Amino acid sequence: MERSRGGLGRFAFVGPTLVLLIAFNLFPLLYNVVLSFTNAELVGDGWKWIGGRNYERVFTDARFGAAVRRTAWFVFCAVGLELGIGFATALALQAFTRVRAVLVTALLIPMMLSPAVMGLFWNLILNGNHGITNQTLDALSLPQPQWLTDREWKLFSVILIDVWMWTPFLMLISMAGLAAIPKTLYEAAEVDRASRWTVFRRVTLPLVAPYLGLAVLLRFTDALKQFDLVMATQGPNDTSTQTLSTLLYQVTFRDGKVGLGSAYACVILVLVIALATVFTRYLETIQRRTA
Amino acid sequence: MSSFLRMIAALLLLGPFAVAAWLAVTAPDGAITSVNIQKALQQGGLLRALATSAAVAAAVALLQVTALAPVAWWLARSPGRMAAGLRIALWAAILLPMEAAFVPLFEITAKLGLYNSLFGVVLPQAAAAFQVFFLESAFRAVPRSLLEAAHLDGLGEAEIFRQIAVPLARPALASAAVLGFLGAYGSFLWPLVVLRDADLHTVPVALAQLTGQFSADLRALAAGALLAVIPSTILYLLAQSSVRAGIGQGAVKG
Repeated sequence: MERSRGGLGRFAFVGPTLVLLIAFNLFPLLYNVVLSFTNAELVGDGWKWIGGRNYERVFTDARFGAAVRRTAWFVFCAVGLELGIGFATALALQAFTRVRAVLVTALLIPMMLSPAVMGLFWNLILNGNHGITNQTLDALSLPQPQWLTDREWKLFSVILIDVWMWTPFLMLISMAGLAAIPKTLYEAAEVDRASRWTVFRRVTLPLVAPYLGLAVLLRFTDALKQFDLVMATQGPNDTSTQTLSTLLYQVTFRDGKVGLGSAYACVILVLVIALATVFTRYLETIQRRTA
Repeated sequence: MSSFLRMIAALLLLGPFAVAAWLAVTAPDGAITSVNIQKALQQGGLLRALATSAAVAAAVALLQVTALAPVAWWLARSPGRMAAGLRIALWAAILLPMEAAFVPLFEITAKLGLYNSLFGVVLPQAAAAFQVFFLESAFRAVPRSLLEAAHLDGLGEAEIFRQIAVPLARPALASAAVLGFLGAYGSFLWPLVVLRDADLHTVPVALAQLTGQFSADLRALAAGALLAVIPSTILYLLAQSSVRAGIGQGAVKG
């Protein structure tokens, strides 16, 4: 079949949508880069070029380094726990085929709802004085940490909520991966009298790995941009939970420094793209190995 | 043993909702009451917000599948350099933190005269880049042979799209619409930035205002939060098979 080379050609009917997509996706991207070299502010118009000074400030800002470390820690803990618990539950549920449909339906509910509202739900549970957690701990005469206000516990609480929301996603993808493994492989392993551990390591794990990898990639890029949960439970300027995204929000909208905020955005974007690329390459090698 | 495990799982996952439900229908002394729900509905303007959110989310979902489908189709069919360029731009847009796009988006929205209007909430969300990729993977699944036959019959690209690709990809389009609806229904920050008048507020925004108002009244807040998630939960339960298909497809095909 002949194909149009490069241009739109026979696909002229695509035009209007293309304009919409470019206006709301490409333009913000490019405009951000432009603004990052200016001293633009939220209030008042008119700005000057100031070269790379915003970037200098980003890299010397103590908040930035702290936010990078905190976000990395958040992503590591949240995605790690989601992968571990999700995959383990999928394995445990393999034996039960009957009730799975109902359970899966229930498990997906948190994921389908607004993260901002989910944060609110957890505020009700973790609230230091009126929350159900501490009332229970009180009844059991156990110590009652201030989950949402104690510096030691705040970040843990946000990780907990994220894990609660997204573990089912990892579980669902793991289940899809497990279901796709041909039964004959297990039968062959049984004939060979392979131990359960060997079967798991040599058959199950390598064949599920591409699924897990993709799910982790999606979660990873999403968790790097964690915003809603932190915003809902702590606000953007809390020193012990400020992630890269909430720092960006603080700088741009609360401090009103649009130019500096744009520089933050560009640095974060480069960081995310670099990490996502490395991860995708890694994923491709896994897939090639199993293919 | 298995039923025990299942109970634990259900309790963990649904626990927060159960706690909120219990708070919402009880008074501090433990008696059953509807006061909290009334408070949330009346003082919070939650009833109007629920209607607004549903309308906004429906508009976003409809626009996403109708307006983005042609581009997705083009990406699935044309291997040209323009398509490759668009793909890279859309990936970058997905990876850009949403908050970073707000200043430019706000300027466009304001230029179009859509500040403090629900259209201003809808339009940028309708141009969601991830939906393009989702729909593209759906169109890639349409059998080649059918398309070639249609081409030989003299159908143009637009007719092939409308008469063959769209009907065949209908389940995926439905998944995209449901996921788009749920996403838009739950979105918080963009509506907060674009809307000024309280009577235009969407549910998450109204709820945030409620949080300030009722910060001491945990029970009214619980009632509000619960009312907020009821419509999306019902939609999800009704459309769960297409939601699950959508999640599976998105994950397997990237």
